[in-house]
Amino acid sequence: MLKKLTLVLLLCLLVTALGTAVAQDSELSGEINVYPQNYYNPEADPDTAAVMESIAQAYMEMHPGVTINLIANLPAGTDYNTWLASRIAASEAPDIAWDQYAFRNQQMDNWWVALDDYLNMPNPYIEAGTPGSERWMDSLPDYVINQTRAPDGHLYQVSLDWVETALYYNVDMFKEAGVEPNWANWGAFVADMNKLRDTLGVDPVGLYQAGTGWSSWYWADDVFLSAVWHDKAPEILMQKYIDLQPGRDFRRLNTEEVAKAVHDGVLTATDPRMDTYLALSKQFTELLPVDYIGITSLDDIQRLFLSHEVASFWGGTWNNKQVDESADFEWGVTYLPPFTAEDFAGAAGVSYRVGGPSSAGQYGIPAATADEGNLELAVDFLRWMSAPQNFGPLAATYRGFIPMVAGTEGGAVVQNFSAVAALPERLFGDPNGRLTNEAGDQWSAAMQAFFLDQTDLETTKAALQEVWWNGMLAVCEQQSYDWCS
Amino acid sequence: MLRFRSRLTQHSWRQDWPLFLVLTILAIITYIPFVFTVVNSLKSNTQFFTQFWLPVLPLHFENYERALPSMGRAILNSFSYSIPTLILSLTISGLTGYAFARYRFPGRQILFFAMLALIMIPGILLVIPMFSVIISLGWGDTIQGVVLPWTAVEIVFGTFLMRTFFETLPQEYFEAARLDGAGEMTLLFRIALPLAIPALATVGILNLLFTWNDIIWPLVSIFDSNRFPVSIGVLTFSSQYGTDYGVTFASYVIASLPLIIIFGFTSRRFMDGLAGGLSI
Amino acid sequence: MANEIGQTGPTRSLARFIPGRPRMRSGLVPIYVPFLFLIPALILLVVFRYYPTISAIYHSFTIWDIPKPGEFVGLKNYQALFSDPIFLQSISNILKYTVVRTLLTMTMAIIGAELVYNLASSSWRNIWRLVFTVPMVIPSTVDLLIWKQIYAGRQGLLNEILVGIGALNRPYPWIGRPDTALWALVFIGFPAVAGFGFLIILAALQNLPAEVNDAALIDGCSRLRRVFSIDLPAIRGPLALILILSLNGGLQQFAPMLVVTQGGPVNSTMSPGYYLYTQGFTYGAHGYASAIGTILMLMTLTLSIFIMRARYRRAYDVAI
Repeated sequence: MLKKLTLVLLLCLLVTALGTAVAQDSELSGEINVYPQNYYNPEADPDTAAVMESIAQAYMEMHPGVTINLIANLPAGTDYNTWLASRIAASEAPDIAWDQYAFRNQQMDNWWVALDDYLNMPNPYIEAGTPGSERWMDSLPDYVINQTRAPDGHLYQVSLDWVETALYYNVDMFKEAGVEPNWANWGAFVADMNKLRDTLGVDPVGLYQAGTGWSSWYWADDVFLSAVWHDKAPEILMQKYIDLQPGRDFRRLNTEEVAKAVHDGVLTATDPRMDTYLALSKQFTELLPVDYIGITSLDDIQRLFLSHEVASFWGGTWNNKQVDESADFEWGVTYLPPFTAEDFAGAAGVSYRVGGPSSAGQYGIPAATADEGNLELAVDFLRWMSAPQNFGPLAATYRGFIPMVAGTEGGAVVQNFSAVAALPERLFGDPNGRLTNEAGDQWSAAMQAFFLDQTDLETTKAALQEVWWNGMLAVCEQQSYDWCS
Repeated sequence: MLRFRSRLTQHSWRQDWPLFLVLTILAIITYIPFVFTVVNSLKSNTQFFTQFWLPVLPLHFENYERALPSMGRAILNSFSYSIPTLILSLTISGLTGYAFARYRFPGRQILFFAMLALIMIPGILLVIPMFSVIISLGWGDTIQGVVLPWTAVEIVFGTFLMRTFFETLPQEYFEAARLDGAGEMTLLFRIALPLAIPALATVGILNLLFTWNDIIWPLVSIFDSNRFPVSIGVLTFSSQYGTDYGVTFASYVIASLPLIIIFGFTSRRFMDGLAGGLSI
Repeated sequence: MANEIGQTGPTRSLARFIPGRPRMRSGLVPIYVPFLFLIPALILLVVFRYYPTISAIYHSFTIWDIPKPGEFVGLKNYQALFSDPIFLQSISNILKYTVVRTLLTMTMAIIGAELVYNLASSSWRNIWRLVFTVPMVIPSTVDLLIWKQIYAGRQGLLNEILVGIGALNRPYPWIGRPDTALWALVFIGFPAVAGFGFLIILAALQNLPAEVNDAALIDGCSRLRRVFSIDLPAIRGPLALILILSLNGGLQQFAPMLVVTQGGPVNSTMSPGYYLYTQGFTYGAHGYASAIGTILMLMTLTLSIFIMRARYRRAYDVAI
């Protein structure tokens, strides 16, 4: 008996030793946890979950020593920030984890592994001769890569997809009020929207502004700010970032560019341009539901739209499915009008798209994964997942986000959004991503005070300037760029 | 029912009707959220979008059918965390409350107030330190990782309640038993605990209410979503991808049922437990 | 059964409170016995409550970028905190909220309990008690979500009713204006009868000796006068308990702010609890957040001690 046991034990040891030797040679082994966010939600969306499972399954068959555990999407209404922060604190975070890039870039190398080197290496799972096979980064558009670049210049995540936003509108209501869903300029848009309110008694646009955190008002803020500052873009864009995306002379500013422009006094909230920005913003709030400050979720806005209470709402590609399934009226997708010289002097005559990689496919690898020796495996699985033959079907099944990997198709999602996608990018990103999250919340509060007539124009401008200035100081304290002083 | 009517004499009705009126009004307002939940649990999404507050026909009972599988699992999960917590915190609260009530020992008051002071700590402050403790004990994603911290939260008020209760027990019971030669354990198990059942019922119910509704700790400490309790389970039908409102409300109702049933059966015991006069 | 009135109220309460009054001659029991009973509780509390609390207090003196250990900075967080306008506003908000909320919930609990207590039929008393017990099982998050819809502008129940009866011309954004948002949070759960406070008060009332009440009624004392002159003084022990629990819960409140208003508009509903949460989990400033938590803890502790002292000082006067 004992002999037999010893023998088995020895055999086991031998096998293990052999296994380790093989693994060190070329074969990957180990166990990683993956949190694909909306792409793995077995309860609410079993179809997409099945695709995700098959991707993991195929990988495990390819690499017999590997175990991939998929973590289901946390239910909406639970708190991902707390969940992730406590896991990071205890080195228990998923080895591939979703996060919004504005949050991820606040933590940078404190939480995450910089993926720049890997993005510059080949992705072996992409078919030879197609983009990405020689350099992983080539399978993703440069503007996607660069929007998620952290203030320290590194890339802490791979962004595989994109959200586009637009105005969903009630075709029946527009017809009844005699409103055509395209406008020559901002003035015409406001006039038509007021016509909707006056003839039908509905609120023209569904949008809400939260006191802290993200709200769909962020998009409006981005657009208005971009519209009034567009002429300063050449001064604000920094050469070192232009070199990374040659030919894109109008694009979203990153944190360093905003901070430097504030530091150099190019970007000041006391500038006369801000009068126009504040006027446009306030005019827009008059088109919104009476409690646009008070509503705290896009779900509630979407419900008002589906309940015939608002004539349109600003939503994202992810709203497509529920609107399609639940609307008992004809609906369409349109967008904000161009800003022209009739609206204000110096307007560029265009509107700006509010799209971005703030979707489900934003994945990074926690620093703890590298400490535990699973970095190579996590990177390799991420490569596999991001290959078009895998990510394409995943996004196509989900139908909420536009896949950005070369060789994938947007499918039904993009149909309604192709006109919007052709517009120029906005210059300014969301308030919480411009400098710091805290500065974003302070910006929201200052704007609320202005909308509610607590502060007048001059006080508001001074308050906004303080937000920018303090935000710049915070960024400088963290990053100590060479221009900081 | 007949018995009620016979007891409710003409006399008491004449005296009581103004009270009934006010109570009824208070009850109606109190029950708005409850009724709204039930009403909306029977609507399809389309009905929900056309009529927000009032009931609409036809009723969609299939919402319950759709909510039941995952809610059933969530309820079982909840029991698997709530029952051990209940047993542990009843035992510990009983022991501790008894010790504080019946013995005089050095540091008694200081210990008692040091315990009570724990009520004053904002729970959210401790999430990260507590999770770090759980992980360093190797208890991530385990039942004890949920149960023991919950018990630690619950025994504070439980001890307070039990101490108050044991103090109301007449000394003579114990003196008499002691004269008969009963030991400390006999005193506790033969005399104190049987008398304490109503008080334990009160502690138990408060315990269940807390563990049934807590979201943040199970969310953080449980890794496998198949083992989430009802407090999180009720949220799974709403997603960024689209909310199934009727099913969501149906799951709220299903989630509350076990507690309503337990409450219905123990309500009198619960009140008896408070009857000693909870006080400071 | 034992009760306050029957046992010369104040002195009995004092007996529980003042150290040194022997409940039992300690010579009869070995000194370690009570500690044996306390061991399980002490282990749990030390591991899951005291240690995390001390850790949080320690981290309030650090810049704490998790997962790195905190970097000690002395009182810097506290200095920053007392010149942080949002924190100062959150303190003033939460004091207003807590005072009014406590007044509201206690008044309503007393009204509810007195109404039920005064019913002549004991069966109906039990039924009404159950009626106001069952709503306690509604998960608080669900309750908050529904109340948010009650206050909503369009499709909001409150507005539909007020506009319907002509009290308002058009819907008012109750949680969208700084002058009403905090009060809207205070009134969540109105009429706030159903709850633990109601049950404690009702139990305390039912515990009063019947003779006292009968005597008062025979003396021609009106029901209302009896409530103020007999009932409430007799149950001040339970009332003090509810007061402490309610102030405690109020000061730490953050779920209504998180779910209903997100601290807005213009920080008018920002509470220290929600600010702690935001600073920690949104801005990643866990050291600063710990400092907020520590201050909040000290505030609550001071207030509770103050109430206890007030209660027992009065008790002394009565006793002497």
